[in-house]
Amino acid sequence: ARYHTTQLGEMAKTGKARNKELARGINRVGRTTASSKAGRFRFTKKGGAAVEQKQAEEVPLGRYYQADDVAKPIPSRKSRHKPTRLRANITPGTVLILLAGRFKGNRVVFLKQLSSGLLLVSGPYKINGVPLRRVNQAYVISTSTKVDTSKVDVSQLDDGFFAKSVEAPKAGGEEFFADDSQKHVVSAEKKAMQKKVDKTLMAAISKVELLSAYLGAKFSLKKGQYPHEMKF
Amino acid sequence: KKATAAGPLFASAMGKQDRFVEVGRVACINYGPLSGKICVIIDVVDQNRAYVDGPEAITGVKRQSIPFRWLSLTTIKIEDLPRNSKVARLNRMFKEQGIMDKWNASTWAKKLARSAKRANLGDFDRFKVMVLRKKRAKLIGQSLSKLKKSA
Repeated sequence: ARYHTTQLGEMAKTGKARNKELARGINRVGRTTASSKAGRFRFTKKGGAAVEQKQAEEVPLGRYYQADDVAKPIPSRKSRHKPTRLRANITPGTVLILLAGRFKGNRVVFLKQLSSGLLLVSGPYKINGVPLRRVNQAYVISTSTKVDTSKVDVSQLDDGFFAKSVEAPKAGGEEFFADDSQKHVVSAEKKAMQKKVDKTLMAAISKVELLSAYLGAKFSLKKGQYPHEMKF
Repeated sequence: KKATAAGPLFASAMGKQDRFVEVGRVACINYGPLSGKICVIIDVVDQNRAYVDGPEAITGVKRQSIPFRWLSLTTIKIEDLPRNSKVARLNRMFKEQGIMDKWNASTWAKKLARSAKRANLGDFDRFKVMVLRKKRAKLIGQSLSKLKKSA
């Protein structure tokens, strides 16, 4: 609607807009008229200094700039706001094919998604040698085969289980002469947890024919097989 | 009338030409989103196109004009089908003459179904197939060695 400038002033008193945006950056009423409609004449005297009435403490930000450039720190992106989105076809019990890492080609059972977003999987260890391990979703193909993991209890397991113990650094040049072939010893705690989880897993797997052999076999592409044409 | 696509090459071997484009001819669509489905030719539009219907209720192919190049003619035909027959009559005659059963019994249809099944196998299914093929190969090998010994 088109309003005369006097009408705009009246509208302001009733709480309606004093000005109107015609297009971006272009208002119906120009700066001078707008300020007169706002009643700025109440705070200025002709030829004299501006008499400041009690105004709000905060100066409107639009016309205010710092005298010197103040460095603003770039907001950190490290704070994770959302948990990693789990692919819809990956549910507890899904058989996954690992595509990278030490166990690439192995078929493993998905147990749960940890708080870091990584997937917790288990071979089970007795079948294919894959222990309780964390795996990234991106390096995994999910198959349509599901194992019944309703009786498997992994609620106590989280990323803390996989934290590496920090060893005290050796003094000076000893490191270079030390025996490099340090055997990686698996803690008793991890072995116990592995046994506990795998016990219920194996029970569920043995119920399905050929599933144990399937998990023990490695995945590979044969001649004439193209992943984009295959269903998993 | 158009001869079969294989026409000149195998005419002597096949003898009588029996797959003609005619009203009532059942064809298998070999190109496009409807490939693998069968349809009935109910009219001929021009040199390149046929007017075709599933029937839609049975095969899922809507009544439409379709290029001959997208069709592979079969040996099945609906007898005495009038040109441009309405849906109800087409459905009735299709069912009465048992066309779907004839098609499903053909080797052609069975091969299509087998290819579709193989394409839809999941990873575990493919593993099971592999195990079965190995078992079969073993049995064949065993009987072969028996035959060799007795010979």
